[in-house]
Amino acid sequence: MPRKSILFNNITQKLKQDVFVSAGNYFIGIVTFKYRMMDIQKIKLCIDGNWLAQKELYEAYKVNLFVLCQRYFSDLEDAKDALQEGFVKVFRDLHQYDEEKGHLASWIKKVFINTCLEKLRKNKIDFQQITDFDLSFVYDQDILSELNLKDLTKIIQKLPTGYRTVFNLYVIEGYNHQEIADQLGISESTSKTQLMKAKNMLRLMFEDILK
Amino acid sequence: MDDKNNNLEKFFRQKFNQKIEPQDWNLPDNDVWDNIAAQIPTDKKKRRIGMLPLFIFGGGLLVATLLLGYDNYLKTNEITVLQQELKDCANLAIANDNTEINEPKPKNIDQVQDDISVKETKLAYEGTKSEFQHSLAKKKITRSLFLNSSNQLNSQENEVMKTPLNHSDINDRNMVEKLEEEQKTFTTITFPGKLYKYPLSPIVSKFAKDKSALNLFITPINPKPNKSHPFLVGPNVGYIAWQDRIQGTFDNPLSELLVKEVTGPSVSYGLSLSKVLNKRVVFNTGINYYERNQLSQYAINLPYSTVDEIAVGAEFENRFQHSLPTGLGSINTNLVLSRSASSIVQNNENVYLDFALSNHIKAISIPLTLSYFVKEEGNGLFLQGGLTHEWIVQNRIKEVETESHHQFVKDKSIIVDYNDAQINRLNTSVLAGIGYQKSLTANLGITISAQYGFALNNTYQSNAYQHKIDQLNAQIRLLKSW
Repeated sequence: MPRKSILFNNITQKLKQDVFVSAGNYFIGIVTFKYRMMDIQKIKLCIDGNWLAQKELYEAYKVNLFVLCQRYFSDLEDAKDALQEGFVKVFRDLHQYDEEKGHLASWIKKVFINTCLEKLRKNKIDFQQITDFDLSFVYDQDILSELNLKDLTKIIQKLPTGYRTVFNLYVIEGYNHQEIADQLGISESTSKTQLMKAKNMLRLMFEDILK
Repeated sequence: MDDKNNNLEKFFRQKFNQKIEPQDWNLPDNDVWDNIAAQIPTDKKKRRIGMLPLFIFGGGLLVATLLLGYDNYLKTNEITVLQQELKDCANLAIANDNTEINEPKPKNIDQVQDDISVKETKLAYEGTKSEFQHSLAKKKITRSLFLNSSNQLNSQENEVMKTPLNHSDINDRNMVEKLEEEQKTFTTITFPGKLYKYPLSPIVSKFAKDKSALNLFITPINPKPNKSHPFLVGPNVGYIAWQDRIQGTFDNPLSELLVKEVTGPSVSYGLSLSKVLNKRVVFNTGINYYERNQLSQYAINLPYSTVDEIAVGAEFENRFQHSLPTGLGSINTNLVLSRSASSIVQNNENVYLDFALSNHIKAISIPLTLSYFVKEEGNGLFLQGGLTHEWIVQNRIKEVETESHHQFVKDKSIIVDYNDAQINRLNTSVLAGIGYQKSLTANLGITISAQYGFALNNTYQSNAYQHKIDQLNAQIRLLKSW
């Protein structure tokens, strides 16, 4: 193959590993940006309404954010709706993002968490104690450590909405009880109780899996 | 119990900090992106477009106010001179009267001037034609004082109106000529109320405060305007926002590298020529000149090969050739990246480059349009439609910028080869718009109009790609009738 053609193919392939893909990886703390200047430039393009840049940003983050949405919603359609609403908000408010205050991925994640919470609030989260819950989760291996993210997400989805929301915010997102109380409009003690019950229920689920 | 809790939290945190493998998950459907794309707000664009009419309106208002003010300023100067001549006549007449009749006059020159000024001010306020005729008669009587040495003003008034000037009695022949000229010139009066329609004019406001200036609105109407206005000629200035209309996709395999392409706005200026066809319809043509830039921006990712690099002195070079797409045809680029021999680089290490270039176009256009005035030609709202033909005089690559984000790249150079024959030089658009015309004076008018131009042919096309450029045009024209 002529050198020129090889070069073109390489360029085309490399394009698919663009900076926003790197940003997507950073989302879970694996890779940092190498080419921050280009990243800022692409954010500006997104703000200016460049559909190509917007699509790139969507492609780079969609998997991580879809997983995030699925942790908050047991129903896949609700998760899709949240994903859609979240991205619309991201593109709408991207001009408010300040790179001095943090990484783009962190900002986008925060927008999505707020979107999920807003959507949950609309559906009125039930924080009452639920004793009768479905433990029918079936797992084909009996080693807890081999549970992958998808399995864990399914387990979290089995939690009642109130338990699940507090668990996500406290354990995975790193909020404290005061922040959770402010976000959800509940008391700190309710937040603590919901977390404790969520953990107990998860433990029962794991015990059931390990049997 | 706490340990168990902490272990559980730690377990989940660790798991959710792992990299997410897309293949393990149900990916969102394609319609999710379609829905997002449909909902992405375009407020910013709307705001930009929304401000444009305000700017045009504000600019038009400013220009109209300045023109009106300047026009009044010219009138002021002209009439002040005439008024001064009138007073001089009166002074000379009194002086002459004193010497020829040998009768003592109680009034001095200042008193006479004051009398004339007060009288003129009063007449201008009352504003009736009969009063003005009376004023004119007075002027002629004043003249008769000079000519006939008579002080019986009222009784001689009618006679003076009928009696031709007797040049034989005049010592100062130049003064008589001036008076005759004055008689021809002062035939009507324009009332100040007409100018109060333009409260923004500082000069008019000044007149309103200064009553003695009211008689400055006496308008000379020599020469008489040609009411048919067969031809209207004048300069114009406009602002054109361009809108790319693209069909299809680039044939070029590197089209993915193109991240942004926009056509910037233009300022146009030229000469307008209009012909009044009938009471409501006017044919417009002329010639306009403008320049516009089309910016193309690329994000390039190149593997820097240490195997293929060429040694040039103490440096190594890698050379690349691309054919990149633009909306105005493909460009060929020759890129050279160099590094010092001591720099550290891995074979096929990626080099990211930001690359931008600007097509600079110079063009002239000839509009052929018809204006239909809602009320009557020359004033008020009109609708406009027709064609405009654009001839691209020059199309060249104006600016090329390259920026790399790598330490090892010591130097870079890029040569661009562009064949400007790829574009169609003659482009035609259908124009439709609306405008407003206002007469400033008998022979001078101003027009503010906005038009949308829908391109009929492609500025650039290839097998699978068609590029048309539509326009939104706002224009201000000054028109002088001939």
